[in-house]
Amino acid sequence: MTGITNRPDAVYDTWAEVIALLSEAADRGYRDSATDPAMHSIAVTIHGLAASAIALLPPEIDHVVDEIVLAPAYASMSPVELIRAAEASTRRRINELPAGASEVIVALCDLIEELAA
Amino acid sequence: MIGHALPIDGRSVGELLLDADLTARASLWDPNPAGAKARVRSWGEVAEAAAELWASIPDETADPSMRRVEQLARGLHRTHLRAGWPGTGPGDPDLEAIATSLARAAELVQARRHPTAPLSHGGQLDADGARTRLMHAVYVASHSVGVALYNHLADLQRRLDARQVIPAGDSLQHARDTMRRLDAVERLAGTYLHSRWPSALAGMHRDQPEQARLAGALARWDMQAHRTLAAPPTSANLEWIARIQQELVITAAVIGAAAAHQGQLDPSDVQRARPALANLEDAWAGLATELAKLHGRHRAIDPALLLAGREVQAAMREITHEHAGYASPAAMATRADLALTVGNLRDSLTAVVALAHVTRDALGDPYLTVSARAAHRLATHVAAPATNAHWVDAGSLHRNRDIPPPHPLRSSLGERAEQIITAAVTADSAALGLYRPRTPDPQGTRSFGRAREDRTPPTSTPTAGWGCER
Repeated sequence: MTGITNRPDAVYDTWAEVIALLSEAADRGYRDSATDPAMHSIAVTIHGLAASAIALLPPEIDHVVDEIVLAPAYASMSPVELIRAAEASTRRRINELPAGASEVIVALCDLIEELAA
Repeated sequence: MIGHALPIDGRSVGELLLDADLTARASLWDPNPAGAKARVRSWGEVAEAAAELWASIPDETADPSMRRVEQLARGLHRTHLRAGWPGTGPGDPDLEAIATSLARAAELVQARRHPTAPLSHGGQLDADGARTRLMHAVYVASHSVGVALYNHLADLQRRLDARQVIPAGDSLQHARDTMRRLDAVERLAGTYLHSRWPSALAGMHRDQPEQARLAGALARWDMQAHRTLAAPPTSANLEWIARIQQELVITAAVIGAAAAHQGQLDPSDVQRARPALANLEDAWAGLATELAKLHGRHRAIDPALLLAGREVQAAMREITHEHAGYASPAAMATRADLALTVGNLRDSLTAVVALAHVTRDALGDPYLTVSARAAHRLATHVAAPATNAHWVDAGSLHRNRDIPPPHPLRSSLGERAEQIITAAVTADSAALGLYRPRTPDPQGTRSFGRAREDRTPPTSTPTAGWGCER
């Protein structure tokens, strides 16, 4: 929060990572719902957030989301842990996110608080 | 004289706080250096209104964080008065809107509760959540002023480096000093939020679900799904439709079981519908999984369809879920009339038959395109890897163009759609019993007056009238 950078493409670096984490969380949620049906609803919510997030990327660069390679540390995370990681990513540089990101972030925070046991 | 009364702001404290937080975030997207001084002028109002609201919310711990923010804000204001910077001028609309929302929230809280009044456990959690949301709004609003000031300073520095004159009323020193002091506010707020954001928001009060919400959401969803599929289809839209339909089926089964558990539905009817619902769920899941492979992370969905789906999902979720799992049947029963809810979902199962047909048509639409690489991978898998057929041309594969699904893939998708249609028809008839059994009126329905006389059949056989062939 203290660093201020205005590199234009950095906006999309962070946001693309957020989308990749949300997509991964949705996919794992759908997979886990085979044994835990309650997880399907959570996966649908995350899927909707990922769709809202990708809509904020300019069409000419939306291919970057498929190029993001997630760190190995994410491989063993649950869907809930992944969305927490996505929210943490948005905190790193909150002034480096695309316009309209606030609604996605607020919805993400709402979901995290809802899932908190 | 007739005066025009100002419209009353009908928002709740929670909605006002959320609006303040959202507006603070929105102010980050336009850190225009020309607006830096306006933001500095309005920031003091935000801090003042936040401190007033904070003081109105009962707090047994008497946390001093906001008082410190207020002291810093007062000190900054005195400095600005002495220095004549940023001077008089317009304020920032975003920050002024935040201050207005917070001031209104303070009025509402002050009118309802004394700040030292004891709170229940739920009330304390609600108050913690409100303070956390409030501090977050101050944190982000302060940062937005800092970002604008940073850009303003960079502008002034560029002018100095180019040996240009700094405009009258601007001051590099005052701007830098203000930015440092706002940085201290940010650190204070950040320290408070460190262990609370967003977990403390979980305790905020939420209203009970509205029974009519789900029925309305289902109707809008059905209409929007048909409308979206009337346009050239995309695999992401089709996947979203399949996922929501799958969730509808899962929820019908879950709420049906809860209704049976609570004695609101006949358990044997629920049991009878279960295998058909499971088949329908599998059929939608199979299609969704296959479609998801065709677009990877490119989940751009028609905004109207996305909104309609999210509304359905949220309306179901607020009845069925507790944190990451299902609520108990008793808890669900306190939130909604379960038999009525199952009836709403059961009606949507009838509509599914039509939607399944439209989905099949969309999957056969010549305008449907998919990613070339994913299509190649799946077509090769579906058509057995032994065949050496090239389903996708090399150029499209190299550039990963959007292409119509190759033949084996389209056939596979068509088969999945047929499975959905078959399963939907079966589920529709199997779920016929999922309605609240009619409770017989022990006294019989009593009716009076002329209307009853008109409806009551005569006890004796009528004589044949004119024109009657009997």
